[in-house]
Amino acid sequence: MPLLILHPVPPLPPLPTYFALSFLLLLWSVLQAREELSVLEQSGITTAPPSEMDPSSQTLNLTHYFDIQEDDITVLKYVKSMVRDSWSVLVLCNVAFCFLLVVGMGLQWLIFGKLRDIERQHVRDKLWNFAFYKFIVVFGVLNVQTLEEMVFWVAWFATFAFLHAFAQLSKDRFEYLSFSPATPNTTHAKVLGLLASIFSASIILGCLCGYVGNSHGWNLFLFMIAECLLLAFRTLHVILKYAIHLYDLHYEGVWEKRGMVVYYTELFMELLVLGVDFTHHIHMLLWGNVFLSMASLVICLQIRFLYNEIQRRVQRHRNYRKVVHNMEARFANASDEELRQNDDDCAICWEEMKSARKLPCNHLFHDGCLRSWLEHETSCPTCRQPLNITRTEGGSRPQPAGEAAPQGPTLTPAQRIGARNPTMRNRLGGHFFHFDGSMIASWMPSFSVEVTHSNVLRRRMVANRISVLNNMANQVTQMFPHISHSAALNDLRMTRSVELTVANIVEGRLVDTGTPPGSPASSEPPSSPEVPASLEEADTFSPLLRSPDSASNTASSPPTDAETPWDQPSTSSAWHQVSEGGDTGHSFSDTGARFSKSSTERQNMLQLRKERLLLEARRKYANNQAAASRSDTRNEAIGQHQTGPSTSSPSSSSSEGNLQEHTSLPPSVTSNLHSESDSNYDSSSPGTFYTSEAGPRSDDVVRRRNAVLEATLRRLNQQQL
Amino acid sequence: MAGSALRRLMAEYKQLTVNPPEGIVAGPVNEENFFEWEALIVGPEGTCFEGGVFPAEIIFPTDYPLTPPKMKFKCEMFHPNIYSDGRVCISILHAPGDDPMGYESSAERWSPVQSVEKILLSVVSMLAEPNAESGANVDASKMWRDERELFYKRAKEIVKKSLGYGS
Ligand SMILES: [Zn+2]
Ligand SMILES: [Zn+2]
Repeated sequence: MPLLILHPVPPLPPLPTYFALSFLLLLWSVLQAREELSVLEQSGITTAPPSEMDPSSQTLNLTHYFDIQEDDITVLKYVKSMVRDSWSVLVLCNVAFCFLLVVGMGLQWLIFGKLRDIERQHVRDKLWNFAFYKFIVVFGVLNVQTLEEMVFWVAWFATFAFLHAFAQLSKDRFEYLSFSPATPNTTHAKVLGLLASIFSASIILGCLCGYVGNSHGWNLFLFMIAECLLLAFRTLHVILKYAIHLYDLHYEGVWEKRGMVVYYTELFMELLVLGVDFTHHIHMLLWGNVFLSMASLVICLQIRFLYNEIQRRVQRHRNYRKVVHNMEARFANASDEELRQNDDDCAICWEEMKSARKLPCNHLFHDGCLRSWLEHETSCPTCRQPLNITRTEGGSRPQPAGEAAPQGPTLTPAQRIGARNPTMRNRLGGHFFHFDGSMIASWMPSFSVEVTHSNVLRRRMVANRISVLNNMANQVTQMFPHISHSAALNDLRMTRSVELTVANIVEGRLVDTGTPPGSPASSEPPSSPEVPASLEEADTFSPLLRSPDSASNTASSPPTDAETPWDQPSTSSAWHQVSEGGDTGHSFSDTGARFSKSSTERQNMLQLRKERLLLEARRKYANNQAAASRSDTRNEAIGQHQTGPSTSSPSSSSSEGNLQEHTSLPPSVTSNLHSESDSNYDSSSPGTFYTSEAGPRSDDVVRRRNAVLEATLRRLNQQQL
Repeated sequence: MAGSALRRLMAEYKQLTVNPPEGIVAGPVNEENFFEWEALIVGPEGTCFEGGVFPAEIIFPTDYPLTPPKMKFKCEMFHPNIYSDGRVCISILHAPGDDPMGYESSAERWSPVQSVEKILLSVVSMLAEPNAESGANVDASKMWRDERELFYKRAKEIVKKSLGYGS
């Protein structure tokens, strides 16, 4: 109920004070009862006078249960006598509340331990909202008049508040636990056990309201059962989510249907809860006879909120169906042969593909992965080629009623933007709202955000793009003289990256009119003609010369590294080359480590690696300071020495090779390197800079620590073997 | 549902552990929460940030890799593309939809094929070559453009501080 947030939460007295006060009050009422009992025994009256019986309370009249009998045991006598006094009843309720609180806190410590801040906040909000809302319901709808009714409803709602609070806690805790792969099974069992108990408690309470409803009319029954159902469904929702999560965690391989199962469980449970809540509120409004009162206003607001929620959910589902439908109609499943040829994991989830969908750009993805991505963005994740989903291929998709089939080239950019589906537009914020009018056009056209830019900016970017493309095409034609400039340009327009184009050429995907007939140009050209020209213009190209794929491509297609110097700045290879040129090439000898199965070992390992990185950086910094403090002439010589190898070093040393060199470096070699540099430093100018920086002793400390680290790393590496 | 994000993060963590790029160590701060990482980035050699070790936190969304993580330096930084509170402003960290600066092309923004490793490498290259046009930190941009020597000096101090030395 986000609608009803009680803002200034009154400051609560500290719990011990509250408990002490409650105890004192109890003591007081017990003393009162004793006095009364003694009076009763003296006068010899065993039954309550009939005037105390309230004949008007038909609904929940429990008073006659509490007539004091001679043969009752003492405790019962006390209780019964206290129940006859309304103040003592309140005191008893308060004590019961204390008891519930203590039980709740005990349970919380037992199952959840210390609560995180967000969990505490959620529970507090939930409880306050619940209390506020039920207060309105009790006085506005139920029209409670007698004390007995009051006590009954307070007890009823307190129970529900208690259960709801724990359901909320379990939900939050589950979400938190799902952030970690290394949660012990006992923790899962505890939380799941609690959820199951809450669920069964709600079922039992449901049976109880069947009993109450039998004697007090079906309106009351409906009112009470709705509460039970809401709690039961909410709990069941969490349990189902939990079960799916655990199943997914322990599932070997890829669970292809996962996305669908999750989606439909969510949809079904959410609609169920919303539906029950909605009917519950409608029922309250009609039954309570509370038109034109404060309570009816609150309930009406809540009904409106729930209605909007339901509508939103249904709308979301419609969009989801559309995405699925479009995807199925437009992108064929990849054949087994294509899967085998691809021989790569899904780029979205990094897991193996046993079945996949193929995009027009020949990239393969899992069905579920692609679907969830298309809900975010309509372009290929790998090459960012826009996917014009709306245009059917071969008319295989039936045109939804009321949708005008957009003809790509005739669409203005504004129309194209407006035609995005509503959820997406909402996600993007106010930026696109003024294009609402064109919503009738079918959703998800291919376009790029850059169309909203001012013309000046666009023109500049287009100019940039053309020159950049020309440069890239020149590079490609230099590498592959048999490819014509225009063909290279065409392909580059699609790939935006020299590497990708080179890969296309090498793998024979680039069809060129000037290509010798011998080349294996079997597959279709990647530059599909259906992309309209205006769209290409809108889709601006990166002027920063950095393809997002360059990092992965340097590993997959090493030859391009050598030939594309402009690509270097952003990638690891540049980094390697620079460091290679320096005089301390292997300074950061973090060769990577074993990836342990145990969570604690992984954490220790990571900690070690971090410390090591920092230590080495410190030592290197100190060495550099020392070098700087030496004579200038020597410095210059070193500078020349430094620049020498970096220019002459073969640029073909790819990052892969370098990494290999690193990983194959045995620990003994690294430690040799360390001692070498250490001795270097010792021979030059001992202590001249450390005195100013961190004291002469720190070097010893560093060395000793490093030795420990080395030993640990070596041990861990040996364990691996 | 965090299940698929968790699997993917685990795979990335493994890759970064077994085969780390030079000068980068990254992993979850605490495995109780796999969606909060810390990375140590060594300033690239031959640049003014050379030799510094800069810690940064990376916070992943639950629908990672569909939406990009957020990255923030935990140490003092002075750089045209880093906000004064440490947030990093590079295009790879922006979702294709939002374009706060209005100058990036979608081609270099976030997509699920990106990874933590690529982000960190981009950050290294950002350290090496600041983009003065972005202006996440206007002072730094100005200094980078107009008073390069002063910027270098400031960067040297940052490096010194990042290693825990003095001032
Ligand atoms: Zn996948
Ligand atoms: Zn593609």
